[in-house]
Amino acid sequence: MHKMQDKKASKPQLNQPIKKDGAWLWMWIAHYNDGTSLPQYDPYTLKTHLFDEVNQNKLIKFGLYPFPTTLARRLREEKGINVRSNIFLPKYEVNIDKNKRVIGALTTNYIKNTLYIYCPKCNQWYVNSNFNITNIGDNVKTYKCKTCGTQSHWMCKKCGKTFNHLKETNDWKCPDCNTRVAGNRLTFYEDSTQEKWRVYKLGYQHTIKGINHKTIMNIQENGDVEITYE
Amino acid sequence: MAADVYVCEMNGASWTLANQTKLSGASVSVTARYCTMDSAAPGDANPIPIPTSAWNPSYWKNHYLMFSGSNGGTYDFTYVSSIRWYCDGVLFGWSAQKTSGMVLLMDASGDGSAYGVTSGNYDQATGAQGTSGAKIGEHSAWNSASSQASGVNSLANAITVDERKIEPNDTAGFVWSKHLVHQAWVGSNAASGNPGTETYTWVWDEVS
Repeated sequence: MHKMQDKKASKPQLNQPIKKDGAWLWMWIAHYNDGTSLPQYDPYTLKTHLFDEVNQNKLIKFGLYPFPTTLARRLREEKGINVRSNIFLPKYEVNIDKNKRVIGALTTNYIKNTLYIYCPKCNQWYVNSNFNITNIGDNVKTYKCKTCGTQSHWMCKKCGKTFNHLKETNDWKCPDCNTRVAGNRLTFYEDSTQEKWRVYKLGYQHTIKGINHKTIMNIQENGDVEITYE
Repeated sequence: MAADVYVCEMNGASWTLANQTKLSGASVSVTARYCTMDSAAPGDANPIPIPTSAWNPSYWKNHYLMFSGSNGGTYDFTYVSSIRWYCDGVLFGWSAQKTSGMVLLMDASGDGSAYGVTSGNYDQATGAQGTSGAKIGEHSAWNSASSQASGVNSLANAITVDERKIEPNDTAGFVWSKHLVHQAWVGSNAASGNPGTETYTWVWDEVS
């Protein structure tokens, strides 16, 4: 039986940009009926305020605001908080009257670990879903790139003809020149990244005829909004 | 400041509370590999042998979410809830149908109504190193007699419509989630070699 031979090369660098690094993009500010406000992060002292500290009795408006550039830099450098300033993002606000109760400072958070695989022919890293795993005979499995079709295979030592499965050969021999075939195992390197992102939720709930109604903006990190009613 | 969150893998004989944000014996995990040893980074050592009949389980894996964000001894978020976990529902390219050529993924029912094992009920993954792991379905602390009889749960169903709900472990501090305990089962007709990878996603709600 022939052994598959690895064709090793130095592992290429996975330079897959991590677009979702878990940075916070909006901070909340609670606005009160006396003209004062409570920000999530104090712009001078950088003190963090919790949603629990919001005085609901004085609240007239609650909003999500993109981080100002200077505050974002200070929070990162002085507090080590992963925030990012993007001035192109919009602000979101809800007005709160005495019949409404704010739903704010709520996020749904995601962590997703993704494996990337390197195709030696494309010279490219792809997410693992771009590959099938196929059995090429003799109980040998290989990745198969969906983009270019490259996979480990069997090759005739004499004429160089390749076979994607052993059953294409005549019992390990090339049908054309009757020469023994050998395995040609390609190296599909693996590397992984971790994506973190969140959906921001802002809205209010109020009671009508004894039934609680919720209106919530579900804000994606690119600023897209979907409004849901419950 | 809101919580910094990490996926952690727990290994070793026992856990202790090292500080308010970390369980000793745990390591931050980006990838994990099912194998027949208790290790967060086994490399290619101790793969899961293909059995001559029936199924061969890996050592079980123990993962949880760690929430940090300490601010002078208090937590920098109001609360965390609705912790969920799911996969894409297609495990290693196979459907949920159970055949001996498959690699199955199983998880423990947990010790309560929701999935997940509390840190206090942590048990080190055991078995015969290099050969097979103990079946989590036969761990009486995590599975009721009825669930042992019916087997553990296939993770093929753990997609968004039937995701695992893993509530916070510590209602006083909300510092880590319950543990997701899971393992791979290799069937007797499975092909040798690397079967590929799975992508897992953790989700939680947070009020900052």
